[in-house]
Amino acid sequence: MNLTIVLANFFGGSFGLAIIAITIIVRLAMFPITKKQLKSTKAMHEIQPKLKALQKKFGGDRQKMSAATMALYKEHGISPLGCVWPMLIQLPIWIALFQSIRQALAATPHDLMALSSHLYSWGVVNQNIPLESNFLWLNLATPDPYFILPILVGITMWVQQKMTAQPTDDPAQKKSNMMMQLMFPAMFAFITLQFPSGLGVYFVVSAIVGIIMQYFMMGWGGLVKSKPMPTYKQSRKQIEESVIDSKVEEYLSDEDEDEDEENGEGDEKSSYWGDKKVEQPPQNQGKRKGRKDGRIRSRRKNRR
Amino acid sequence: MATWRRSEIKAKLKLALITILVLTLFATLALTGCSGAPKIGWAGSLVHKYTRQVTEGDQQVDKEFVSLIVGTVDGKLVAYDLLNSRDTRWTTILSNTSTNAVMYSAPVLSDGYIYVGSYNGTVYKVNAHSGDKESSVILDSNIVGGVEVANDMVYVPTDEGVLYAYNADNLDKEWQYPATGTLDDKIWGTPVFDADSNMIYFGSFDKKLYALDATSGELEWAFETGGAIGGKPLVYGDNVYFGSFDRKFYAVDKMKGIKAWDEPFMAGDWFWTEAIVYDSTPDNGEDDGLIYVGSLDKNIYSLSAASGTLKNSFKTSASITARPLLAMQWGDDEIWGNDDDEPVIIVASSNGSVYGLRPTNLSTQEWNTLSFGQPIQSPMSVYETKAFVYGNSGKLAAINTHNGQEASIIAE
Repeated sequence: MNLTIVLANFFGGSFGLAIIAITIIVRLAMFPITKKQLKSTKAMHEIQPKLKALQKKFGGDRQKMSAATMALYKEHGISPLGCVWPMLIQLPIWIALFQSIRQALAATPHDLMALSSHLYSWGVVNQNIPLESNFLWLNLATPDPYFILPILVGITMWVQQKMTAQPTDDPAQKKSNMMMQLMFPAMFAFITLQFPSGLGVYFVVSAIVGIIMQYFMMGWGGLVKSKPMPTYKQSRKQIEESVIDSKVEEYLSDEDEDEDEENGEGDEKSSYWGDKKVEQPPQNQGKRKGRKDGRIRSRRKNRR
Repeated sequence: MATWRRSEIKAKLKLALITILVLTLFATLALTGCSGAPKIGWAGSLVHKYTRQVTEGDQQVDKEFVSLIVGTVDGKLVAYDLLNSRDTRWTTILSNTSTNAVMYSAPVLSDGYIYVGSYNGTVYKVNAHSGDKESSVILDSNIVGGVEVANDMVYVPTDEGVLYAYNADNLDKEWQYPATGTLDDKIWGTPVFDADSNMIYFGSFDKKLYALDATSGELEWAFETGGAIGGKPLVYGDNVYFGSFDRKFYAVDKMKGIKAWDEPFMAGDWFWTEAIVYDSTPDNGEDDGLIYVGSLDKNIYSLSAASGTLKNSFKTSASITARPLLAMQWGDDEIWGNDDDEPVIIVASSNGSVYGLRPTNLSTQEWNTLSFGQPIQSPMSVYETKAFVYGNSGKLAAINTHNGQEASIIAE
């Protein structure tokens, strides 16, 4: 709060400009976390063809689909909860900023009284109290009477959420995304409607900075219509090239073995697509075959 | 199967986390205090002593009344009978709406009427004997500072940065300052009238102390400080005394608006409350009076009114936002002790500690510190040898001025 007041002094007493400045500082300070989150989102975008292919492969088998999806996430270092942590980390910052805005603007004598106990003895701080609460059309200490700010908050937050949204075919994930895209902007717009508009200024600026960061790291993301999904053949080829050695394949090969075993073809090489045999790279062939044989032998032994 | 469960659990966990995040944010913001009007304030009390003709048998006789009138934290005026039972004589709920008429300054008594401004922007005029609301005027701005009633006018400071002058009789507007527009910031300080100069003095958050002609509202002078001015100025002798948020306490010539001391007195924190003066020349050994003022740095200071020199100080346990009280320790018909022939300075700190200090030497406590049990921000009032202290949670108690003990609890 004291920093905000010093910044206000730097901007000629404008607390609105001080809020904008402190917002940018906070977003820059949190850039490493944001970067990690965006990388995760980007990776999610990139594995979409593979996810699509897996969906075609397993159809309605939810168990297998979920297992393969999780394996794919793990292989690409994606955490389904990755987008939640940055928001959780920001929560105390929002609360601290909300408190500092409310107290620094001191709309009521209670607030001003409380403010005095939080200030440093710097002359520049004491001489700037109370702060100028007018900024543009807003009184930063009170909610926006024209509802412009809540609308701006809703729009900018929606754009940011839409850009970040992770495309998915998982129903649970879809549900989460939908909730994130609609609920968060609505919630923040509602908060802006009820609380000092200085907090709304923070929300808008924070979202705009976030949009800019996301644009430079991963383009418009889910905001623009994504490229057409690859055809089935393209997807299959991609998976064969990049996922063949992954844990996904390992998990799936177990399932194929069971099927092969039932068909009496346990020792034949087969693709986990089930419809076509795929030649394995020579360096992996023996190792895979041996490992598979071992498992089959073990299972047969168990059955006996 | 285990892998499937893990996936499902993670998805559900994500939903749960988002829900918790949303709820936490809502709850935290709600608990930390929403915007909007405050529900309670701090006002203060006054003593109303008057004589009224009443019928006793078949005769009209003059009867003396003494009431303690309190502006409560939840927006009421309550009168207590101080002579007999301490019972409530009347209660008036100021606001006609569901929103409390929160007050941050003590009511003022003039010619049998009580005037008080409320945070809801209304100035009320109430009959002090009956508690009936006589009239009111509604402004477009919150009122934090107290009203001043003098010169047949009611002077009202407002949050929007305008000082209004109303006719005390009918509450018709006489003038406003500035005549058009507003000052650069709020006026939370209570104005004070000085009959000698016929001026009204008030401080503003725009860091200036203004002196206006009390009749016409014309600006006489303005004195700029380094911080906002939130307290009521004190007029004593040729000077106006007031503190500022720049942590300085100033003395300014009341006619010319120029500084009266070489340097203002510097404290460790803001000056929020008004000062009082003790003038018992030559008993206090000073050529002039002593000014007592509390600061948010927890200290009460006594300063030479003539030079601003610090005489002594006393550190309390919390910030001082309530005006100190000067009271006699013993009544005229009581036996005085050896050292009890001088008054006592009663100081209340915001954490609820009450101190009785010797005016000529603040470091000497006349009695042990009283723990009131509630924060105190309202100015105290006195009747004979009882000081009335009103806490932020509604406790009203009478304290003996000679020993600092609670004589009675009037309201809790």
